[in-house]
Amino acid sequence: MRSGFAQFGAGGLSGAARTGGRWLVPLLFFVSLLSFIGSAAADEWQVNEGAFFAKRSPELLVTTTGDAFVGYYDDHNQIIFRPYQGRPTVLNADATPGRAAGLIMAAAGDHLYAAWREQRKKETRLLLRHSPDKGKTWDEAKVIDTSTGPLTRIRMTADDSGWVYIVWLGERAASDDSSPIVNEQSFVTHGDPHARTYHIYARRSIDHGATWDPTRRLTTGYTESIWPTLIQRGKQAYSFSWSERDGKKFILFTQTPDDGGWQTPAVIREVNDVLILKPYWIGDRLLVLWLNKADKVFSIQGAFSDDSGRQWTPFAVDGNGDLDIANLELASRGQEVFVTFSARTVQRTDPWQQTVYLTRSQDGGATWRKPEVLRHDPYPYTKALYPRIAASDQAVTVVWNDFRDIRGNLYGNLSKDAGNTWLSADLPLDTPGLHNNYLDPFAGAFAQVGEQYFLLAPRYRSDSFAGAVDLILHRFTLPPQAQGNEPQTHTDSGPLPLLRETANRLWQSLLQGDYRAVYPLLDPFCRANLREVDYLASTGRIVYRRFTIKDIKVFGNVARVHVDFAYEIPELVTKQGKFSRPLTHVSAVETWVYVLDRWYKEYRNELGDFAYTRY
Amino acid sequence: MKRSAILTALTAAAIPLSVAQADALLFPYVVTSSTVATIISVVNKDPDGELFLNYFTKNSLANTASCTNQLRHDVDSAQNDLVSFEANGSFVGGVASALGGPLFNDPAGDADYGGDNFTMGPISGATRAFLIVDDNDNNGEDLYGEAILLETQGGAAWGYRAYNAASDFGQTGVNFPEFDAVANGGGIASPTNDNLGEVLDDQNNTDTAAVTLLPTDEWETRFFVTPISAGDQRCTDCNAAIKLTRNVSEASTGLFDRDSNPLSGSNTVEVICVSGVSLQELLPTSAQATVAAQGGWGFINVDPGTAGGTSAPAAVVLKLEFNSAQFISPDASNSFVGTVNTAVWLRNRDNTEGVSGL
Repeated sequence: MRSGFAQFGAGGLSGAARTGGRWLVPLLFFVSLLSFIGSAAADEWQVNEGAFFAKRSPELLVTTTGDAFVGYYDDHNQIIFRPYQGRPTVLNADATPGRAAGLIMAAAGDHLYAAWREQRKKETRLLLRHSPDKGKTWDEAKVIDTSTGPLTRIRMTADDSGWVYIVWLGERAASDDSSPIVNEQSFVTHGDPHARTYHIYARRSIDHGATWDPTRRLTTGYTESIWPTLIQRGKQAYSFSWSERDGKKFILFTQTPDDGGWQTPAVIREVNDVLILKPYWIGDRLLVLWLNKADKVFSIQGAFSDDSGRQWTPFAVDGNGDLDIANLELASRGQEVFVTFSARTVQRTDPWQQTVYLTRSQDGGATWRKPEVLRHDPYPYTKALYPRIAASDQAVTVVWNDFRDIRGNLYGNLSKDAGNTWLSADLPLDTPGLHNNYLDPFAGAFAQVGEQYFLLAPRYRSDSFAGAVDLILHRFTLPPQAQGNEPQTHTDSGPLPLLRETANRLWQSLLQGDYRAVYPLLDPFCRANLREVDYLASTGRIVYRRFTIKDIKVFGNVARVHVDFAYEIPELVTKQGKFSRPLTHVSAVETWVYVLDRWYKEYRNELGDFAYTRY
Repeated sequence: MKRSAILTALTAAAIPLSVAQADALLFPYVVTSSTVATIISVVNKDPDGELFLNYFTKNSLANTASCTNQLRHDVDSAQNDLVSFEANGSFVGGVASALGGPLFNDPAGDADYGGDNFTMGPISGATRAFLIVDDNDNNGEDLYGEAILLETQGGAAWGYRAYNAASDFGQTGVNFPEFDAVANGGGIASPTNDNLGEVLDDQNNTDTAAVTLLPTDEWETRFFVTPISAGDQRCTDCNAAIKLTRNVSEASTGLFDRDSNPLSGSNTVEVICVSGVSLQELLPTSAQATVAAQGGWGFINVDPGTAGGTSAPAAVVLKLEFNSAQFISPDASNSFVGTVNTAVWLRNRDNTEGVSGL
């Protein structure tokens, strides 16, 4: 099935056609659309043949030569490995449901590695498998750890010569946490069963995972080290952690000296709560980025070193203190560094939605511009979240999950001039309003190799957001026309007259007590969860007497309809007594949403104060 | 009605709050709208046969909006009487019609009730409130109450037992008005008062309660928070705050996911008077995707408020859960399409096992 940027045409036309009278823009857009379709190369591939278990993060791995691999879980918690357009392989064929989690994959040349945590009765095991031939065959699983109480937060890197590092978070309470080398005797086997000491552990192999050095504790002397990180260059590995000692919290750094051990961790900086921690190489500069939270103030902070960690220069991005940041993704090109994230304001505002931001540095992270909203949508009533970023000589590209079309779509934008300017219209990567896609913030999900982009995104089959989910790998190249700034084309609302007519029809049906006619006008997310028979069974006690639509305001695909109405509850006699309510006048503002090609009234559950929509 | 209104005025004007009014009940969460009702039931064993109602209401959804004191007013009662009423008169029973009489075949015109108005007042629109009911004397433990909150269209409902503090008369010879301004060693939040740990209290290190969190992709979770004063609970702007922590000692903010992984950070949400705090407000956005897919667990922790009201050290916190989507079993063999609507009163009683939970 072809979609992606090719589908951008159809969806973009649909959006532009909703302008209601402004035909010139759609016409011009349609002309440019034809050239888009003619030149764009995009496809989407359903990765899962059977069920995809969406509760666990899938993993996309793309090698430098453009080979793409996906790892995911099926509904029996089997880990499925599948090359792009290739046959699936079960990596844990002997597993039983509920055991495997934390899948991580790494590639070096033809060698692939997959690691995960397996939970057995009274034992958790860290397992690893190696493939020497790009996943055609796999060695038997190696047990990397059983003693540390490995959790599912695992990091792994590899190089072409067969050096493999694996780092993970372990939860077992240590009886002696002074020694960096640990074994089964290092941990509490009796005593307080609730005791937990969260340490980060590591092992190394120099023969493609056939044999392994002893397990080493990287955070000896500290507690509560909960974010393992790992980055490798050549045969050396580097790890940062957020660790606590004596009530103070620090960013720690350690690396492997030549003997394969790990140095005693050094403090880079005292911090507050750290919610995200990630390492990067900016050329030869080692950079660590974290999200610091001090009371209500979020701050993107970091540090870099040009001498392999002997000296560190801290930095902080100004201007994001009032943003509650959901994720951090970094890409670099020479000394140009780009960080994208989604965030909402710390203080609850209306609407309280996440949108996509970008900040950048032109000096390798020493100084940063104030974060700016990257998303091009004039209406703040829908969310955009979990952006991913790639940087190449040709462009800086950001993709994200965007709900401007009410359903969850994939959108992107790109800059040809190092982030100075961006396309004035965001590019939909699939048909707007058609699918419920989402991005998993924890999955490796986006990669660029040459002009080829890969984006891994699950997709709900139903508006109920329950039941089956498919895993879709979008593969696309940027159409040449997208390399310049395009006119704004997809910010327009559904036509106002259609909304007025639909709202009148709904209220007329309510007056007539014709709830069967009302039901199809409720939003599709409600109808996917609330069967017509259940809806009809819950209606009828309230009798509507009159209504007046006072005002309609349209904001993209969301509208507010101000309606005055009167209702009463006629006396109802039951065993418990007589129930009634006299004629009551109400002035209310309803929300309507435009999905694909028509307006629907958003159903709200008043007791729970929630809607079934997800935008 | 007239009698009640006069008494209300007299009560407000002539009776200082420090005068004895025990026994008393606290209904920490009352809500009404065009489709939501709260049915209150009160049992009164007091031979004097008096009940006083005191609603504190707000029609703003803002967590830090103050309440309006609808003033303490009298309704007639009788010894061993049970009376039920809807807080805003949605289900008016008998002939009292919109005046807000009792429900369930208690005739509103009966002399026992004399046309008394049990409602929170002339309220329109969605309203949240808490309610204090007292029997206007200091003679023993006389009151018991329950509440049912229901959505009148769909029929979803949940309920709770009203909080009745233990030590109405904690000091010999002193009238000890529950919920009123007295130096009682911590007020109703005192460990000697909430025998079931109903009040999470920062003063007494009983400020945390374990809580499970269902996946927000499928469930809506709200924390109904009513700040509890160390002194006068008849307070329109009492202010407490809640946050999520990974342990009882509140040293580490955050929670755990379903795979035992710790997650760091929590937003601190301030509440004045009464409010419903969504789980999404408590979670930093960096943790939301994890909880959306898996849920998790942690502790609700209460701190004194700093939002500008009267700082209160404690709060009653109820966790509410609604299904916002169909629940389908992992193998898709079973599905549930009805409405779930349930509440759990989060408790801590000196970390007593079975009350504190963990």
